Amino acid sequence: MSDDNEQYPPQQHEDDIPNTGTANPLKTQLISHLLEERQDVQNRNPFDESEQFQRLCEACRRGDTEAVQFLISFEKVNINAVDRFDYPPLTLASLCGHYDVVKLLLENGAICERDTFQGERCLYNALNPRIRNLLLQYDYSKSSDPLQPWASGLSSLLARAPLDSTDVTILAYSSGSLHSFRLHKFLLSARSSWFRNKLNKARSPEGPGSEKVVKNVRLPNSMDARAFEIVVKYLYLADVKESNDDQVMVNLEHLSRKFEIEELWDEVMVEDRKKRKQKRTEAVGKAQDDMARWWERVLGERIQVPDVNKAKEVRVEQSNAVFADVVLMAEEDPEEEGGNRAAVLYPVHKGLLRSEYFAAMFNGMFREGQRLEEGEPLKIIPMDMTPAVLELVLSFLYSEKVDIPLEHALDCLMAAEELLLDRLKQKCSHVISSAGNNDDLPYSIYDVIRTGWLTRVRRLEEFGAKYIADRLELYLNDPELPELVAESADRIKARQETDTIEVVDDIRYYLGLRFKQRIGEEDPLFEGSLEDEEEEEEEDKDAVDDKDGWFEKQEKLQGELLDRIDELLENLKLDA
Amino acid sequence: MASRGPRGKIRPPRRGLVTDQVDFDEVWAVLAQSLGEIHHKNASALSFEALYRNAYKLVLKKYGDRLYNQVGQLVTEHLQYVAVRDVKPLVPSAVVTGTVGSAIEKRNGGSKFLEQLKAVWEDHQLCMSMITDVLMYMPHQNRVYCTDHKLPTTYATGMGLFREHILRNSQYKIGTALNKVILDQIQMEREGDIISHGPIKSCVHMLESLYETEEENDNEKVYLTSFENEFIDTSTEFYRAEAQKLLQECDAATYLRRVDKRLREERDRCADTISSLTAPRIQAVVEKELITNTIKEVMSMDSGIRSMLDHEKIVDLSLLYRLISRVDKHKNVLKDMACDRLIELGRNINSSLKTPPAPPPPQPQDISNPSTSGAAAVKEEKAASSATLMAIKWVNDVLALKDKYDRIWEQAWEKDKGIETAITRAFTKFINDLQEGPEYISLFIDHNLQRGIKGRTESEVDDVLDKAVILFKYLTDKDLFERHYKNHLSKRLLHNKSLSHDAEKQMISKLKVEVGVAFTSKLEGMFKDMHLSEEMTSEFRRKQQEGEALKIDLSVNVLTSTFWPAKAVGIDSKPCSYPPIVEEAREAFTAYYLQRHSGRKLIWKPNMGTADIKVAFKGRKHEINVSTFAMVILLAFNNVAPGESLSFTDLKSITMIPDEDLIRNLQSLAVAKSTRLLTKKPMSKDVKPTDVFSINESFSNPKIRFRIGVVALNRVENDKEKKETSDSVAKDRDQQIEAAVVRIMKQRKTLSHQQLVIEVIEQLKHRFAPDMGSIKRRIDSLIDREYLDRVEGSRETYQYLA
Repeated sequence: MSDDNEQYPPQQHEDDIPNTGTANPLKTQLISHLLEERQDVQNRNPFDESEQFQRLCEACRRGDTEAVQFLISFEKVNINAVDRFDYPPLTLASLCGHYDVVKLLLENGAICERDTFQGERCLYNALNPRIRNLLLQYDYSKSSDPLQPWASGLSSLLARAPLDSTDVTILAYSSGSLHSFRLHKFLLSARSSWFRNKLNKARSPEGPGSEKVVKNVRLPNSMDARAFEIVVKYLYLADVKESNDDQVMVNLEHLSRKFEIEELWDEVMVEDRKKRKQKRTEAVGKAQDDMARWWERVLGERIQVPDVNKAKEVRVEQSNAVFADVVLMAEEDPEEEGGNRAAVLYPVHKGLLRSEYFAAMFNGMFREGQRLEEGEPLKIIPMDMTPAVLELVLSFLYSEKVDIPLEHALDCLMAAEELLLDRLKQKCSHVISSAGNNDDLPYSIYDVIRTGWLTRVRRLEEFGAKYIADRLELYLNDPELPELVAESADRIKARQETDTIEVVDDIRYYLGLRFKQRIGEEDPLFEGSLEDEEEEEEEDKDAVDDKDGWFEKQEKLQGELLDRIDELLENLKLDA
Repeated sequence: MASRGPRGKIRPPRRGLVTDQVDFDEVWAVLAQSLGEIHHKNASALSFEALYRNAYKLVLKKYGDRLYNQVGQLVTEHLQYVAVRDVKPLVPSAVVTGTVGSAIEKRNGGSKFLEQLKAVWEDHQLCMSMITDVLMYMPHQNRVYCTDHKLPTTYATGMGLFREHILRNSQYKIGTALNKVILDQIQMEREGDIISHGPIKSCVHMLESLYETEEENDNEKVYLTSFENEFIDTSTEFYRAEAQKLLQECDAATYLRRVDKRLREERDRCADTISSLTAPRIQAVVEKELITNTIKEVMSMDSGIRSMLDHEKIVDLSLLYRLISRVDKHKNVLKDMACDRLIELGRNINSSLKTPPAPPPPQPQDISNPSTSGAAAVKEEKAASSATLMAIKWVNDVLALKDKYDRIWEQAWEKDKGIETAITRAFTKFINDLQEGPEYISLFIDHNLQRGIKGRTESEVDDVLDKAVILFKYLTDKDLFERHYKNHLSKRLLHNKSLSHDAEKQMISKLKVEVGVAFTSKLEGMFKDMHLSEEMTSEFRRKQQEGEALKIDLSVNVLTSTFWPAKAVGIDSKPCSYPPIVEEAREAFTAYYLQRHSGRKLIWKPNMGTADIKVAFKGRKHEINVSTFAMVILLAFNNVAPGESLSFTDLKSITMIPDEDLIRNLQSLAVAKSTRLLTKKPMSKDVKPTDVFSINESFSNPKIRFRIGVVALNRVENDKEKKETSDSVAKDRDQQIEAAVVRIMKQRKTLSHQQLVIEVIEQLKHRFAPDMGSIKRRIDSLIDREYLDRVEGSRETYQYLA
């Protein structure tokens, strides 16, 4: 755009005579450029007419964080699409001043790029400086990539904050002076086979039995320190930039071949901003793969202990094969009451345990925060979760590549809550609430709803209500249901004086939906609006001149169920 | 599809955190014990994971509020215990806080107290940050459910408890003691003791980290609410006393240095001992007590501003300026006192002229008195030149003063605009106090343009002239200066005394820059006259050579009478009868001139001219330059046989020269010893109408060429001239005021009196400062002559009558 700005104004002066456009090569060029740009904008921000997208836009206007969360998690709408006024949701939310919604959208990959029409418009429309700053924080280099939080977590290792987990000093020469880099052995090994070999050799120079803790590595003089600096940035996924120094560039080319990371060279050399971004995405993807593979290796090092009480005797040396600096321990649920509890020990890396919880743990003055003496084995920290869940958590922390099986999703969600891992929490609740109607839920629906309450995930409450509504006949006989209703009522009473009971409201709502859908599905002739309940009932009666009284039956069933809910409430002496 | 009924089975809730009941008391008991361990510094044995999990469980199960309260209580209990264990023994004894006890005891006691308090504080901070970590989950839960009843964070609560139970412990009054100790230590440091800053800084830091409420508003820091005011009060008291002490003990320069030092000390103190938040306030205290309240007294000391100015103490003056600038951006005190001294010095210069120590004392001589003797004339000349010397001395003194103040202004006062204006005002005041000011300045310029500039480079000349112009700028009566300048310039031009026309022109262009073209047009006219005359003379000569050659060479200066000062041109001088040979030339030129410029009147001024005559005494030829009158007199002797004489009356009838001029010329020809071409009978110094003159045959002079001057006109005006001058000046001014009034009224048609006066003053300010009375008189006179009229109904408004 900036190029055009320079060309455009003089054009206007010169073209006093109406121009056909073909006569002037500059103009043609300009037009084609603008068209290209428009194409670009359209690709990035397609027009979306779907109902979900409209609901998303509406939620953004209102500032309904829950609804936005719901829509982007479940409905898989494109959050960078535009409505018929060319507004993307992000712009709407920032215009209406809903900070939390803006944040949510940005975290989920909404794009706000400076130097683009939509980006500038979004910034310009931000209601207050706070939102504007938030938008700027998520400028293009970060925003469009859902892996961004993970990637920036990796690069923040270089900043050595909030926790300095570096464990090796790499020394390299450049033009006569020695440069040192404080780095992480595990990361170097994970990201580069050259370093993996080098560090392994250094660890056990004379084969098994001779392990020691590697603290320094001298690079051969052929590896220039200034070029190496760029390599380091690349490995840690920090921003890499071309150097002005030709010599550095020559060395960099050499190094990128040596370390088998030719794509670094490509990334540095790319001129075009968009292509560079693409290269960047590829680089992050590659890093993710590297880290996922590294996690597999780490997993290979786990130690199974049949009796948790014996776990204390396990020694994981500081010179371990995966350069772990702490051991996390998870206990299996006992197979039988009073039986031995098996445990699994995972040697892991503090640097990758990114959460407020771990930061406090390792930085604090508690046992976990104490420095290791030479020769002292790694500290073993028991975690309050099963090995399966801990593996999911760690896998998430290492590479974000994690498939959470429905079976563990609820436990994993609780674990994420305890460890203050919001993104993992979202992932888990996503898994649970996308469980299909026909899936057999491996845990009690009451647990799901209660977990929703405890962890403040509204999505789970709704899912639970829907789940119960769909099988209300069954649950109405369950003595647990009244308990749940009573709990829900308590929750509300604790909050404010009001008569509605959330869970009952939800159930009623989904019950309505359940029958409405059935009717819609069953009768292909029926074309009435499904949106208006009253209308539906009227038309129901018209249409229900039914063959075998199916509709009537359904209606009767619905009424019956509603009556039974009322009955339930009456028994609980609640009004709703 | 009717089969699509409810299906699946109901799973019973599992045992687990979600459904399990958590017994608060049980969990809390465990947690409380661990938190106690934190307080006893045994944290390294504790597992963060276990502590966190317990707290997490409680919060998750909605025991957050209870947990919060319990933790608060636990911390409170601990602090109460600490108060007794650690703080009670700390409470400083009377030795430390009281007035008894040596400085060393005080210092050590105080330091110990501060150190220990600091240790208690740091312990508490550390414990609180650990407890906050343990309770980290609490705000996460609160974020959603407790937004309306906002609880302060755990940490803030802990800080608040510290404030209540340690600092404000009602039993031990730690806070009061702390203030006292810090203030005492600072007092000691102010008195020159060395104290250690570290402990104070830590304790101040503590006060800064504590707030009055748990909302932690920045302006409610305990430091600000409890300490700062007391600090400011003690400091005010201290500096008030300090000011009195210093006033008694120090001279002004030392005083200023002390103040400067104090200011720096306080600034440093804010940086390394107490909080930088206090810097502006404490600076204000020092400034008020040590500068605002006392500076006048300091400056009036014997060693005050007077002596600093007189001895040009740049460093002191600069310090003074900086200190005063802190409290008063207009620096009025400094301005006033500096200018008072300046005016005083200026008046001294003025009055030293009135009683000049130098010989010979100038006596006003009335040269128009025909009985004035030759000796008196010589004396008069001396007096005149001594007046010139006086003028030069005055100008040089004033310039020296100006230079001095300029240096001070530049080096010490940062070229402050306000002060510059004040200095200008002061100079204007005393320069215009001296009546002769305009004349002296003109004389100074005259002197420098005549002789003074010989052998000087152009830039030196420029400097001198610039200085003269500076003084000129201060003059209010610029018209008076113009008058004098015209006189002096005319003499320089006519007597060919001006050594450099370039310098003259430079001077005029400088004046032009200052006051405009109107002021200098006449001066430039004078130059033009001289230039034209030169051309005319040479053309006249060329013409004469073509025709019948004249017997004498004639050079004529034709002067436009309005450009030149009447006195110089000698309006009232009478013509004389010229010898034929001269008369012939005069007529030839008159004819030539009138032919060239018809309709003009040419008046000859023999009193202004000179002539070169050739004469032989005792066979020795001389070429003598004499005045025109002297030439006429001498030529009269050409027709007299050698040895015979002519009486005064004879000469008078032959030459028709006015008495006064005749006497003056005869004085120089017959009385002055070295130029006695004529002998007089009887020999006396006076020339009397009864005297008889003959050629002095025995005259001799070693020089072949020499000059016989006429007794010169006085350089300094005598009383009569002064009166004349001032009369004509007054007349001139009246005319200018009238002209200005008419100009303004013509343009404005109607105008109020007030505004008219303002505009008149504005118009005339480059020439002189008209007084209100004369403006009023001129307006009245103009009304009388029907140029103006009062607007009916409002007496104070005039209208112009076309």
